[in-house]
Amino acid sequence: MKTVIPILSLFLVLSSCDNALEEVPEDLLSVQNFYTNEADALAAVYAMYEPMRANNYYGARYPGHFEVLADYANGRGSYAPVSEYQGLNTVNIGRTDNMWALMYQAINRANTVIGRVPDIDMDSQLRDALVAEAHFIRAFNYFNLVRNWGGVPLRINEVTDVSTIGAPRASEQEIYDFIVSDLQIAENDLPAQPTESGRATSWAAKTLLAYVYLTLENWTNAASKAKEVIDGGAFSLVQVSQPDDFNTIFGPEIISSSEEILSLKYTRIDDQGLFFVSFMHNAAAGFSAAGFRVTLGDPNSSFIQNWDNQDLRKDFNTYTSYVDGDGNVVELPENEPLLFRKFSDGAAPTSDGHGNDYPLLRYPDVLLIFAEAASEANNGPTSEAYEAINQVRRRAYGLDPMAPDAGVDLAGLSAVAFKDAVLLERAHEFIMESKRWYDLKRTGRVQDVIEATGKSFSSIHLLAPIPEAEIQNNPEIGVEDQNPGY
Amino acid sequence: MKLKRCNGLIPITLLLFSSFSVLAQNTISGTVTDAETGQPLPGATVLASANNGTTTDFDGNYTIQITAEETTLTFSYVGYAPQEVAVDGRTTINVQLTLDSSQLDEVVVIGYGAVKKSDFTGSLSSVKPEELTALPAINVNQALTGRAAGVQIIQNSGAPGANISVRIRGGNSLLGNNEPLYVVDGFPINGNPSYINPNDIESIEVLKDASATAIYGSRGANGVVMITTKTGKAGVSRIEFETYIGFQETRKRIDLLNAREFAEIANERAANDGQSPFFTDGEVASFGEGTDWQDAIFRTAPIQNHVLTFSGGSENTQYSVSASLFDQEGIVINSGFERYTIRGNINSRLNNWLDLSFSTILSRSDQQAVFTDNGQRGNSVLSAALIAPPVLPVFDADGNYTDVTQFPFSPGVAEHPVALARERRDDTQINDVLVNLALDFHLTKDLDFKVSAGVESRDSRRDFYSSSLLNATPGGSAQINTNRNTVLLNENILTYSPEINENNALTVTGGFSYQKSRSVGLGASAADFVNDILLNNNLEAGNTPGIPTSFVSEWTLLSGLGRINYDLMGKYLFTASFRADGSSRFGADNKWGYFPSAAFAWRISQEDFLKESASISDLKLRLSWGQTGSTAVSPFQTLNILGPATIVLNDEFFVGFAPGSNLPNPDLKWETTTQYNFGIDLGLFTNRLRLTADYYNKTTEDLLSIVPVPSSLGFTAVTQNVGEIENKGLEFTIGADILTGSFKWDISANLAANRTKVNSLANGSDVFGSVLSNPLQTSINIVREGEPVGVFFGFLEDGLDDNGQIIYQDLSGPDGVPDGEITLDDKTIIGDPNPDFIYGLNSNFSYKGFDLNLFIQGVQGVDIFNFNASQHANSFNFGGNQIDDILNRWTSANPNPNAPYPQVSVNTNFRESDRFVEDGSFLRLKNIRLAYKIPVQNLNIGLTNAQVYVSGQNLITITDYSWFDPEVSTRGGIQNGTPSFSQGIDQFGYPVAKTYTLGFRFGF
Repeated sequence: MKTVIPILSLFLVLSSCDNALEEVPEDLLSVQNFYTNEADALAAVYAMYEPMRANNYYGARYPGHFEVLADYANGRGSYAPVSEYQGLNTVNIGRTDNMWALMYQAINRANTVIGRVPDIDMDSQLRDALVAEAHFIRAFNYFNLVRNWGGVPLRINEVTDVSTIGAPRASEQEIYDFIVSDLQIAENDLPAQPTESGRATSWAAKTLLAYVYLTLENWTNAASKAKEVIDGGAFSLVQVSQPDDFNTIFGPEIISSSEEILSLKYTRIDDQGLFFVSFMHNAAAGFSAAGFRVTLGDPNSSFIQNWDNQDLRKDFNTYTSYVDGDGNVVELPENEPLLFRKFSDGAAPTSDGHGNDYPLLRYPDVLLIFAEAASEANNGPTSEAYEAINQVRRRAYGLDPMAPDAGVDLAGLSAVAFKDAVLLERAHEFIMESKRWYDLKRTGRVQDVIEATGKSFSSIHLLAPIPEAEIQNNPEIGVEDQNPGY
Repeated sequence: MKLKRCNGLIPITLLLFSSFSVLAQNTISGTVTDAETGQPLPGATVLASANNGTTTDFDGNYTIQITAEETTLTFSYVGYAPQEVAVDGRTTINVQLTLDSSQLDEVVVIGYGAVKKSDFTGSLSSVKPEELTALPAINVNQALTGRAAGVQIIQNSGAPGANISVRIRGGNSLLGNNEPLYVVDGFPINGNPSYINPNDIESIEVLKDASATAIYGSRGANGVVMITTKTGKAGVSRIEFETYIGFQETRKRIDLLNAREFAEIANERAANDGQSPFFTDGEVASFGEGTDWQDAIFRTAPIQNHVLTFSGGSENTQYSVSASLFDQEGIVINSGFERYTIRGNINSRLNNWLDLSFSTILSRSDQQAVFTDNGQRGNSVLSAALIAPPVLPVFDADGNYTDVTQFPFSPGVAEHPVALARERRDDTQINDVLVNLALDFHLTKDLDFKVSAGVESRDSRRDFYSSSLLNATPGGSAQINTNRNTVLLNENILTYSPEINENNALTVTGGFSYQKSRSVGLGASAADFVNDILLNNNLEAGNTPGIPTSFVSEWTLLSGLGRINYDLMGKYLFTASFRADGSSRFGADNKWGYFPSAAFAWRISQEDFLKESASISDLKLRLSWGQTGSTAVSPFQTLNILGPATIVLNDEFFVGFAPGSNLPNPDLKWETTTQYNFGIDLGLFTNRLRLTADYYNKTTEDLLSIVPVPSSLGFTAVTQNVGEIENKGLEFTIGADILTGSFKWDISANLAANRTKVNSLANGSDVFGSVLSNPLQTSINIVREGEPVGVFFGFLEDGLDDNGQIIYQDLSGPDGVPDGEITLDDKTIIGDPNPDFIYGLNSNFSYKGFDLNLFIQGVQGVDIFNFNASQHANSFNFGGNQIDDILNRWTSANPNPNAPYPQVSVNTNFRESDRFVEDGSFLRLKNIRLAYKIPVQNLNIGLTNAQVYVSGQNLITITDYSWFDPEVSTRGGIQNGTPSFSQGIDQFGYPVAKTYTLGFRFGF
């Protein structure tokens, strides 16, 4: 007894040691046994959209940043310096750093799909479509990167270890060439109809490609790509008759519409909704679950003053008063007299639980790209160009988009005046959709437009700084590679 | 199978009742004193028989009732030779005990054994129970503050129950938690012993050098704290009741702008920014002092602790059981911590070849947290109280919370501070169980085999509900998170200690151990409630359920260990140890680590030439070398794993899978720390003056770190073995019995200086610490070759320019020379959060029944990065209230380029600069206590002793630090389960309180 127990216990310990140190996670999947079937491929594709929906990207701070960069809005609180156009301060640099990281996270996930899905044994047409979807997501994010930082590191393979840490800033041209080739693959292999609303299609690829050409001032290609989409007939403008009807496009309960080409989808659940809505509103107004009033408008600005009151978009998109719980009309406070309301969801459960989707590409994009590019390519507006912009205008005035109306239709403009008209139309149509700043930049009008509002403008503001983490840890990028002013 | 045969609880219960039932026939009393000094010996044991005994009270007095069969009394006291005295019909027996030089040393607990302190070859500090309980302390870590040389206690936050960091001889690791290993009654526990009431502790030994810690192998690198809980004494049944109550309050408040000054500064910003004024002249004129929002969130808060201990036993079986309650309310409203503990142990000699010991601790704690630390722009209670406009009342005319963000300048994320504290529930309840059963087989005269099995289990549940009254959660938001961690331990230790001869003594220890930890967690949430009444108690009442979460995590540690102690002639002491650890956390090729050590000590005082010395009573030199390790990585870091990524398509959830933001690294291996120690122990004048000095040098190789990667990889960080860190330092401990007559005075002091340096890093690249919040969204702490760990990295300022804006020094450029631009190249080391030295001084005066204790503790030469200033001395940037010192600002009317604060404007930009670095040195009267022993033995009310005391903590603090308290480090310690080296940051740290206490101790 005295000696038997200890000896027994030793055997017990030693015999239980086999494989004791092998590590098998029970709550996570391992790369080694993933990417083997269609379901895995789909999971890898869904994962690409996750960083794009994040609050630090389209979920809130990307639109927050780009809307207060626009000439019609001023940032409040920590966003105020963005609207001062003197270069970003540390707070807002932190925000652009986060966007950079998320853009590249989406790119890496796209690279994973492009690298791994072709080896999966599955339906080849679906497989090609999923790979094409990854090409689209990669191009989409590089397009955002190149427009904000200029030439950036070109990462084209999935990263699995630290062996590939260094990459220099590629030239803007290289990035754009890469985007175009990605989108050409995407438009060929993507389906025309999405399996689920919220995923890229061949039409989305063509529209984005038209945007890229427009940005590169390749007018002919921009016009022809846009024309392809128009002629495809897959989309039509949603007709409205009063301001609130725009909620059938932007409202929280809408799943999709006839003019949606691609939107990031959100739902009325905490952490899964559109946080940006909280950035737009005054909490008391009842349009959102919280109100940070980041994007302030000015009722005395020429933008608001000159916006035709008959344009239903004006009433829909702006407010200076609201109706409180007791039915009284309350004016917004004197210091913050005008706010925007394209997106609103009074029934959202939490500050990041608004059901509104965030549109990335809509049919009006296609029409206005076409109008601008066709006019530029032909040294003046063609009748097709007029028809494209006028369809957008007629809808905005509550008319049948396809029925000419002399009261609303533009006619007889010079090339320059037409371009001005398109840009103004874009501002009215895409307000709160993070497009104005890019329009001002690509047309070289930023400085003039901003200075016209009475502010001074520093060209530093044109590009965001390369993140500190990139300069410090990427051996191919040094402090000397930083964008001007930082 | 062994386990099932044993039931420790039944004997405890039986003993409780049996020990009171001794028949009394004759009463004997007397005093036990020291033969040399005549001083009474409190706590000496008086035994009439194995089942009948008592101990002396604080004055050395005892009373014992004996039966007719009991004819002798045995008197014993630690360190003294025991005496047996025949009763011979006397009723008063006074005894003088003499010091027994062979027992002069206390026995100290070390890894897998115990040794006489004089025979110990390593470096350790012992902390006595009276030091642990000298002041109200929530747990062992806090009680250690200032008590042991080289042990730095960092109170990261003053919140009740908040985590406290312990650094023994500096931090070795960037990624490891740098916390020591705690061994409670032989059980190496998983975290820190927060569930033990300090009053339950008999002794603490802090093992510091590698020869002492290498036996714990991969967990020994940060030192080992051996905790021994109280045990019973044979023949002495005692009931002790210890209790204190006290109250705490803030040590200081921040001087902020009053309402009128606030409105004026707001209008000045509007004017400077070309905006119309926020307040009319009439409004400004009508504002007076306004609201000091600090009054709304701080309070005077009670603290109390009650401990009831029963102990006793017979020669073969001893027990000690206790029950305690600790209850601390926080000085910030709605915060607090409560803990109930039941503890028991029993040691029994079952027969001549088997001993059994069983110990158990059950604890329940309930922490009521408020969000303070690391808040920003008013989203935490403390930040919100300092941001809130003094022009507004706390409640409006209807008694509702005032809208604190009603002004155009108000930060959007700001909350009402009182609402944030009161309308948000954040309770964490934890049940801890530690049970250990050991069987000690005496196989032969020389050979022992000890088998132990233990379980440590922690069940925790966090309840969170954020009310619809808060801006961030307009529909209410609820969460429940539960975690369960279970650690199983089996140890099998053989000890061989043959009697060779009087000049040679040998002890050989060897064994195996197996430890496995498994954690599982579950989280659920919901939002959008009809009202706030149900809190988070009915998640299904929320209109929108959240996505549930769960996790499973596991690690296994398999070890073999061995040690040889050899004592040659009582003068030359040799120790060698070895441990092999296998850990599941590492990559397949690096599973096993091997940790050897060796030590030699020379007791010079035992040599003939010193043996007769009148002045030198003890002199020992110690030399040791050894290697220890640190696991330092969380499970699964070496594997390429994919986690879920939820998205919405149509209006439904779809789940993708993708890697997270950390790159995996299959090549991870152990951090290894090699430590040399040279020490000297000196006792003078029959040990009335005791000195211990140690020099150590530690080098940690294969340092593990989470290294940022270029974010263009699509990842933000990777875990790597990146380099080497060195810690070297000096430690001194002095103890002196200055006066030993009826007026007694003894002091003890310790001082330690540690120097840490980063010797090398992978590719020489810097490693950056945690990123702070708006407006300094950057890493302040940096790890750079040639510098101490975690120094502050930022810009240097050079006054103000003509527009009242800060000028930063242009130190460098892309070519290494100033380039006229302020870029990242211009950042430099601007501060160091590592102290030059730390110290503690304890002084005890006693006269008759009075006892006065003073305890001074301090940290010298340490910097704090006062992030708070970026919000409250920031030119009214976010519209938060400002410290009143900012009135010394630059204005166009008084364009002083040396003004301490730049122009008030939304465009004034602050970068991480020396402006925020402050001297965090402090010296504080940590404790002052006056105690009186009430003479109760003649009262015949069953009391054997009674003591009453009053004490005060942190009553005096000398520091230049401008914010609430210099004992702060809000981003240090463990942050969200991840260790952080971002020390020395104060981002709205919950302030440490000052406390007044009244306490009693009774013995029955």
